[in-house]
Amino acid sequence: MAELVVETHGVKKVYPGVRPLEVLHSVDLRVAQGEFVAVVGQSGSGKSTLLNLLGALDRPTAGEIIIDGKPLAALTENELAALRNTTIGFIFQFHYLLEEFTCLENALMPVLIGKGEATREDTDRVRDLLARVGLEERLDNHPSALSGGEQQRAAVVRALANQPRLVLADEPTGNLDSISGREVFDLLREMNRSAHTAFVMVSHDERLAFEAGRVLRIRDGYLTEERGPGHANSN
Amino acid sequence: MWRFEARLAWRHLVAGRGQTVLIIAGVAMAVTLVVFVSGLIYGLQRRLIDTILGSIAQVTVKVPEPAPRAPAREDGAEVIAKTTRRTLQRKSLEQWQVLEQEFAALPHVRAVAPEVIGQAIINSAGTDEAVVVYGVIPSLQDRITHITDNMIAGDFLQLSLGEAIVDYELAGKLGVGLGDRVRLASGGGQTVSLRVSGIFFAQRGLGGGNTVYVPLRTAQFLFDTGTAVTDIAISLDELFQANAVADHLQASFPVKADSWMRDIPQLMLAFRAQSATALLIAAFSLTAAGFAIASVLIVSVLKRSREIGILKAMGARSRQVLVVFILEGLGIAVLGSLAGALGGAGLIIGVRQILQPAQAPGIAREPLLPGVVSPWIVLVTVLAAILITVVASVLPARSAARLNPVEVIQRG
Repeated sequence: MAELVVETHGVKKVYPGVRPLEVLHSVDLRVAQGEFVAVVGQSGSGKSTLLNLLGALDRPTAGEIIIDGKPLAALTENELAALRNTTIGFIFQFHYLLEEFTCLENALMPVLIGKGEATREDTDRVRDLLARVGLEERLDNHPSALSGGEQQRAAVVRALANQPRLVLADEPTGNLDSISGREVFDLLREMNRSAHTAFVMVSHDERLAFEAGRVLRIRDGYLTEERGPGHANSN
Repeated sequence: MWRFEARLAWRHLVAGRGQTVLIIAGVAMAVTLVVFVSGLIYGLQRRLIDTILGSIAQVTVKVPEPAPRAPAREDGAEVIAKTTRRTLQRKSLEQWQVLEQEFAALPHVRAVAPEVIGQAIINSAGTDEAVVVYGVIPSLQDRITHITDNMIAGDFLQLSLGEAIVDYELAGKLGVGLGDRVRLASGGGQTVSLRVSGIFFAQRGLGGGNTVYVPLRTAQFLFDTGTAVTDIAISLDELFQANAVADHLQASFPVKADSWMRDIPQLMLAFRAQSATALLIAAFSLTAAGFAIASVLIVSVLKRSREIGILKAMGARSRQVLVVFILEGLGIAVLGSLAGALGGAGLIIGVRQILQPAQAPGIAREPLLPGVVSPWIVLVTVLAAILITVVASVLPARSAARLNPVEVIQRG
């Protein structure tokens, strides 16, 4: 089996309160390099919580999360930030592009955050990616000048800007019409194959999700394998 | 360093357009106000110093007042008491040339001039006026009271025996002009007849009004002081050293030394009150500007909280977010305070063009509001504005840095 990008052991998440809310119960998950995993489940089932934990945006109440060989619990805040910057890419339901920056600058944002400035090489790489998603004419446009599908495609490129080992996508098509949603999904699949980056995509669109190689379902905080890794390349 | 942060802060400011312009204008106005008011008060103080303190001696040395005499019984003691009394009751300084030289060598002393000052009656064509007569050595006196600057006619430095220089108002009352003769009579009975060789304008200062300048020798004769003088006038390079210099003189020489700071305590109080007012205005306006910046940045942070969350999700460290918003505040402060410094300086220069009505012919008209563009005031104000802005931006910047990306992203 290929190298593991994600590995969790007994991950539990409890939101404290008068009646503490246990969202995830003992989740064990392994995602190999280059895998495409769809996580389905009803809203409120804990999908986003799982994604936030994998993305080092939140810490688990119990259990261990290892991303790209690094146990998250051992990392400082700054080390976690560096991990999010270089190892992980995020795609959200909304594009969240910064209006003050052009399409190209937005796509380069992780590079700018990490290094302060993009090298020629970075710019060329991201420009190529933008061209591949059909945005070569839109490099200097600000987000408000792009269509919903274009905005989300720019956000996909942004997630890949630093050549991460893992991309976490939270309902990436949730805010798009079915045609644009399909385009973005196909794009994610294509990027997954060509960049050999592992994708974990949360979606409530089961029809799309089942086109992914591997489907996991979260129900009442428990993660179950809906369709195993064996289907990874069947498509 | 901080390339990304500076870029983001700058884009925020540019994107803010109207709001950014407004808040920069707000800071600029506060700084304008501070530079203008401080410059004005500073200028007024300088004028007061120049006109009032510049026309009097800052330290005046006299013979000590006679001590109250104890009734003497014993013969020996009585002899000593008599001698002491004779020495003390002399109203003039005998060895003034020696004292003058020693005073001139002291620190902070800029100029020293002997004076014989007394009261007399001046008479011309049947009109009498009570006057204060200053017997002076013009070249020395001019370094203390700057009469030359205030001459309407004639040359103060050319004042010689048989001549007098009279005040402009006094000349009007007596109806005398250059070349006319006046007669001075002292209480001791001496009289002299003098030719008016100059007319000066006594700056609205102290000691203006009925004043006559005559050569030292003339006054020595008029007031019967022999070769002695009644006062030694001293001007200093630092006004506020007057008390220290006076105290030193009194301790080191057998003289009584007065300082303007003690003679005119109201002036000191006025200076302090003015400076305190300027400081208060500065503090309030800059603090108000600080609050304005803080509120704008708080709104900016709220508006951008989702963006901040995304940036943090993409690996921005809390410190980077903090720096972005502090730089944003700094940008507002620098642009605003530079514009304000220019505005304040411009306002001062503009207002200086408004002149006072002429006080006397031949005397230059002075600005009504003599503000001064002091580089120090401008520098301190700009630095204070920048400091206050940075302090004001720390709070919103910290709340931005603390934002939890999960919460703000999920709020949608």
